[in-house]
Amino acid sequence: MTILHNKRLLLILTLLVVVGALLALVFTSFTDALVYFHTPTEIQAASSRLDGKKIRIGGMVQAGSLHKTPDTLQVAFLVTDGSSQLPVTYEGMLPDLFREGQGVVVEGTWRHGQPFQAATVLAKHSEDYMPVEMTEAGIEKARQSILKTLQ
Amino acid sequence: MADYSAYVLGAYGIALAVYGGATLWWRIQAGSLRRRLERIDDHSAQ
Amino acid sequence: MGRLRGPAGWATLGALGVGLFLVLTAPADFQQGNSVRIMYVHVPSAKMALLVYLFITIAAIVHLWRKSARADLLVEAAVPVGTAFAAVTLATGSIWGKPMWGAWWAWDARLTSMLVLLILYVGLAALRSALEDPVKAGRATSVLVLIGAVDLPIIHFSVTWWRTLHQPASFKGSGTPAIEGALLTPLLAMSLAFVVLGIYLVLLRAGLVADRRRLEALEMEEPTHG
Repeated sequence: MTILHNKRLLLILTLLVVVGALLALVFTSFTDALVYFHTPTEIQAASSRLDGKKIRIGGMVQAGSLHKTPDTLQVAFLVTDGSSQLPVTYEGMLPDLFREGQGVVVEGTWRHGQPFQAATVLAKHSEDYMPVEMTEAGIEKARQSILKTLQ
Repeated sequence: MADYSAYVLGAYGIALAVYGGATLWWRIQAGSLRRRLERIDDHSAQ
Repeated sequence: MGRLRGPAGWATLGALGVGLFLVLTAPADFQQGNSVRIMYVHVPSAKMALLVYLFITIAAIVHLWRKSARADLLVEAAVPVGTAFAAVTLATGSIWGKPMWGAWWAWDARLTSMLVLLILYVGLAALRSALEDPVKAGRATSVLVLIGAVDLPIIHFSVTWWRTLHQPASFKGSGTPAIEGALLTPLLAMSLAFVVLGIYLVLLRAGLVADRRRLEALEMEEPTHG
């Protein structure tokens, strides 16, 4: 009798622990990180409230805005969502997909009224896949796709 | 364009190890279970 | 079912051979270069991780509804197959992410929900082995399968519902896919090969689980054999 009860208890406990752990994982990671990044427009609207907070900004590296300081790993560029831009500085290796006119997600601490210093730069790939010989068409299509995901 | 062959080989290596390893392991298990069952069948037939 | 296993095995080898040949001869991507070849194993693995779970969900419903031991057997057979597909999905995605995104991992909605699927698969096997009574173990597993099925639409729609680092789907149901023909053919071939591989692995494990259950039943009858 006690063995039967123990087994049933074990069953219920295992179910509760597994389901609980799953729900905890889903909720802790999805409530805060439901949205992986915010757009420059959203960040600017909440600039003073975000002061001192760790944030991710996503958008496109504005074409022609990338400046590399020679002989260093220092870079500066603008992140745009089509309607507003944010200046970003970063020191370090850039991911291989990082390009002007392509998607990017920058991570760091927001300082109200100062240019954003990124601690991490992640390249965001668009859903477009094309052979190397189609480069020109590909870049334009990828640009449109990235802009669409920012809406 | 950078050379990514190390990454590509790594990815396909992991896939081969997981799928190939799983297939092999399950085939070995299936074989030994089959033999044990046949032994019991022989035994009860005698 | 056992009679299908042999042909399924040969079909897997043939389809994988054709798929890998197309992967090797495909052109490099305009932005990702040769790293795009990782996609040909990553995407089919991900599709199969979801498809196997969908299959398990249907089997679990039949099992609970009809008290079908056969359906329970299919659940037990398919869980480790799904685990393998989910594990390869995460590993290959990570290897692609390092050079392309600049990170092995990102806690975005797509990656997190896929990790939840892998944990679910592992949890399903653990739950079954934790319970001694096979009938109760089977029932508890099927209940957890149904609870976990919530994760399927979350994974699928994560890239449209929330902003993610992971790229959105290249196939949108309507309109032309965002993958050019030369890169699309190997992807379709590998996807087909993985479907066949999945069928073969589930058949292989179904035979194995059926034999193990028969053996356990025999040992119950004749303890001298144990």
